[in-house]
Amino acid sequence: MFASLGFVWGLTLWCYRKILAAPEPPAEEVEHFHSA
Amino acid sequence: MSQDKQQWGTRLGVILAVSGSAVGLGNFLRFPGQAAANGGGAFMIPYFCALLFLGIPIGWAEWTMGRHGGRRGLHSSPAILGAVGGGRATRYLGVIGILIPLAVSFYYTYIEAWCLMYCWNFLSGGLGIDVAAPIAEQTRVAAQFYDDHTGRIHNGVLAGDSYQTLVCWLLTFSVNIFLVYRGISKGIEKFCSWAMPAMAVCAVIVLVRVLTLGTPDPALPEQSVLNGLGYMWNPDFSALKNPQTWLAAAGQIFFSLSVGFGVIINYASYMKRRDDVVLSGLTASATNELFEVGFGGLITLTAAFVFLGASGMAGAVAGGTFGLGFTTLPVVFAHMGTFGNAVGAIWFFMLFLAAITSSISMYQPSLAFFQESLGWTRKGATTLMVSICVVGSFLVMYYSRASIFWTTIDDWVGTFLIFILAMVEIICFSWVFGIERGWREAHDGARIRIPAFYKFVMQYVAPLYLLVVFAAFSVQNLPAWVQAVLDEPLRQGAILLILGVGSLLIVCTWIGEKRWRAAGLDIDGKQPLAGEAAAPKGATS
Repeated sequence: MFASLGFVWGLTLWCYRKILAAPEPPAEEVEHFHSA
Repeated sequence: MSQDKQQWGTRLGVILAVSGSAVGLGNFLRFPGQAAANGGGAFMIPYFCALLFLGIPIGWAEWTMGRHGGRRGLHSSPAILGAVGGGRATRYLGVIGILIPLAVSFYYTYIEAWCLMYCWNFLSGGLGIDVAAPIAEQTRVAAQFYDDHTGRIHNGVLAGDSYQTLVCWLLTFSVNIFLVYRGISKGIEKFCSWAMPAMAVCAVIVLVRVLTLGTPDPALPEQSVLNGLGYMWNPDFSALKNPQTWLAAAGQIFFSLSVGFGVIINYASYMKRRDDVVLSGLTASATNELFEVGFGGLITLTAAFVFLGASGMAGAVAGGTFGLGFTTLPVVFAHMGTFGNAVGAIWFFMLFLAAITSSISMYQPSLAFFQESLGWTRKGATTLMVSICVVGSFLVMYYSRASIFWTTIDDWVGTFLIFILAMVEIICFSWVFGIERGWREAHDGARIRIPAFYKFVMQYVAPLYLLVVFAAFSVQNLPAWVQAVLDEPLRQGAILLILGVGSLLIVCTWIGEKRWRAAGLDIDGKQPLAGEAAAPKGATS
């Protein structure tokens, strides 16, 4: 139980630390082929 | 090109939206039952193997293909898989990626409405369970409430006490459509950015309450929190010798992560061109695991054990996801004393949030598809989608007896077709698009690198793993499912509904194909994208 909980908590915290530390890419125009 | 520009506002927004899509009732109700029945703590070995070699790699493939499609201005799985898979075959197989979320939404929103209705009933005084009565009588009362309020006894949800459920469904459906109509950033992202943390707060409150229950009845010292955790987690390593354990673990991971559902590929298509997909995909999977293992694995069966004891657990686990969630747990909350109704309300509100963050993800793919294939405005596409959903949901609610109608859709669309779509996606990515090109595409803008051995995993291990699980699943279930359809007219009606919606989607794809070709789009993906990550010197593909 402790190994499983440690794994999921560790992975989640590591991922969010990385995500929050990374700069956002600049906003850009998105192309859609919706109504041509 | 349309004026309707859709894009995620932030990287965290898309991660929370994909996580919200993945976290659902199965995380809290299905996972604990599967683990307890298949070796307890030992179940986590095949479970994490399936996560690492099946769920995460297929997820990365979906994220990458979705963002690639978005770079081409495409957002629906038929268009994206047509471009990635190089032709008509994968384009028409991509229709499955619209059919799955659309058909599943017919019954999912109905179940979501049950969560809201249960939350409301706990807020207004409970379900009428007398804790002084024998446990069997309490369970009977809870089961009666469930049957009466979900229309399981007779067809027609308007009959009896089910009107509450109908009101909740109308409210739930309206909120879903409102959020999806608002758009990717203003609707889905904004809601998930609030709902996911709120869900975590609710889960922590219920978890703290469950872990501090101690031994509520001193006369029954064996019914303690520690023994409850032991019931769920004590490892039985002999279960690892049973192939069923490995099959159950792979199935749990597969359905829990929402891979092969048609949602990730659509959501990822709204990312910025050079936004990260590797870390984002991993983070969304990790969030799903946190809710499943970190909360679902500690709350549900522990609470049930403390009040029902070992003897009551067999029936609770055998009742499956819905028996555990809507019959057993209400009995447990009734035993929690003064705060029982509040804990019950928080629990079902959390399930409602888990369900609504999933259901909004089911509407967006078909909305994007109708806009893209028919060239309709968002308003027109929403009207068409709502019309289809109202017909489908009405049939689900009208033919409610014994849940036969909707469980047939769940079997054939929400289970069988998911395997097919996941297989199409991983083969498209690894073999048709090419693992080298896919690898470069995945790492374009990536914040972390995928370990190199995952090339082998994505090309050989994941498809083979999936094939074995699918073959075993088919042998175990398909003959009985086919026979059940042949024997039961309600099931035949559900199959007709699936075929009808599927046919409509195929016609829309055919119309879209003509429009896209007429507009000169490279819908077969023959030309690499301008700015697509170039192959290094000496690379063969």
